[in-house]
Amino acid sequence: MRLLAFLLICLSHSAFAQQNVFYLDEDKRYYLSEVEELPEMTLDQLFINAHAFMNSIQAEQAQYDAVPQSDTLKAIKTRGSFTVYNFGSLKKHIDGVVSYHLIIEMKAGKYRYKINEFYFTPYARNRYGKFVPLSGKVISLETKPSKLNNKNWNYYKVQVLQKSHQLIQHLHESMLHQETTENGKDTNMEKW
Amino acid sequence: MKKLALLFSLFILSVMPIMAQDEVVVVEEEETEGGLSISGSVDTYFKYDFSGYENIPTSFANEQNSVSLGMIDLVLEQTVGKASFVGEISFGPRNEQSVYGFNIQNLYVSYALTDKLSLTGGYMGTFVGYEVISPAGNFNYSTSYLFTNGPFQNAGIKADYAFSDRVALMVGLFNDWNVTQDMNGVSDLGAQLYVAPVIGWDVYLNVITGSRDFDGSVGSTTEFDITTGYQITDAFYLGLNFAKAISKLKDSDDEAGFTGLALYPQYAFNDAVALGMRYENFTWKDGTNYNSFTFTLPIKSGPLTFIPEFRLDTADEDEFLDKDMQLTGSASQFLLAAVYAF
Repeated sequence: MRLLAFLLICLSHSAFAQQNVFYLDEDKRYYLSEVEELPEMTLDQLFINAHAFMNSIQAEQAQYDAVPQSDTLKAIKTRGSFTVYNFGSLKKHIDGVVSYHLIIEMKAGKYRYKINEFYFTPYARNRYGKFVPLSGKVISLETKPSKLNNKNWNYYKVQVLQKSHQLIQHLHESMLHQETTENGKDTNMEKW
Repeated sequence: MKKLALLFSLFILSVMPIMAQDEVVVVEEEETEGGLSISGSVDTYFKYDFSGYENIPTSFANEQNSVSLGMIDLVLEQTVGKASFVGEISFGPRNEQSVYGFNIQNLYVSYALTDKLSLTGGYMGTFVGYEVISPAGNFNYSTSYLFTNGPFQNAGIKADYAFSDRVALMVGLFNDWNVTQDMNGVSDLGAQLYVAPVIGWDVYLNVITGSRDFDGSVGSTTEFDITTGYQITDAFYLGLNFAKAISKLKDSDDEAGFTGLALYPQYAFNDAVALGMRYENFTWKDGTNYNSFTFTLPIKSGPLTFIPEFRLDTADEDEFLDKDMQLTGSASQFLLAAVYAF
């Protein structure tokens, strides 16, 4: 019973820690990063999966030469964005987009992701009633807002975290993919 | 005691995953996002002209020494696949002074034929000029002479083609200025070339030409317009609007029209407080020349913006009233507006 209680507390806290925090690097910039162990996966398979993942998300074309590569380490980098919405309305409208860098590094049996460099581009309603980016306005997500704008800014961060974790979940599912045969059957016949 | 020790151990163990990682920032969740886009604004103002009379002849915010209404503005917008619509309705004095017939500011549908080419048809806010009708879309609360005398809406059909993120072209056929029904047929041609020489600098070259109804007399108007804005630094922004309009009555050689230039330097102290000035020089063809200086200090608190504003207009002819109801060459006013945008 005590063991069960212990596990529950640890699990719940662990989930909390992943879902609502940004980590801070040495420059006090936000990032999210984790190493995922997938012992059964080869480096090539992870790389194929990462490539497929990059193609499945709305992001700039993936870069393969932005990070050092070797026979035992491969990496892909891209830049994407999350749409964020206004706070407190009954119905929402877009308030801006937050761009991010995503890097996936792979070794045999594991991969590591890092999401960082969050920049907010505010949107404003134009003369035609549509919300469009404010030209030339880019604000890092670490920027401390004024007291008057604190609530909105915090809400953007909440949304960035939620969408980052959705992205991470999607990444994790993609990286688990095993190579299939031409018939579409899983080549790993032992797992069913 | 054993239980206490166990609880303490559990607590330490449970916080260890965080301590073992890096420093973190906790962000508390407050709400989740919705669906169809609904936005809009409401605005109200108090204006005091130091002469004691309504004086400055530009659009909106004219009522003297009164807490008065702007308008309530409601915008519905949705994009599904390649199709989208915008419907914007408004009620209040600001609406009545800007649209004719219906309480509609925008009502159009759009279809993206490709990633670069889209077609739009309906009743749209004009593509000409710097300022807009919605107070939430302007930095200053009072409006310029250029805005007041240019088109407010252009109903029609237009094609937008984006050559790149930096260059785009719009060409359209439109009704006469501001009307939802054109009694002499769709007869105006409009075009806009958009160029962004550098990131943060937008330039719009506009032209609209075609027939117009001058209080029952048929004529034509052509307006050339340059609207540009440059976010020079994170804090400093500079906008500019130049326009020249020429109007002719049918079967007459007489020309009317105007030429104007407005500058909009703005400095943001932070994300809540900014200070901006509008300087405008406006001249009626063969008529009065105006110089206008407007100082505006918008203060934002979430969706609410307080806008204190001081304005001084001068004219080369005595066109304003002074305290004694005598004609004079200048007018000044103080204004405090509140705009809530949602």
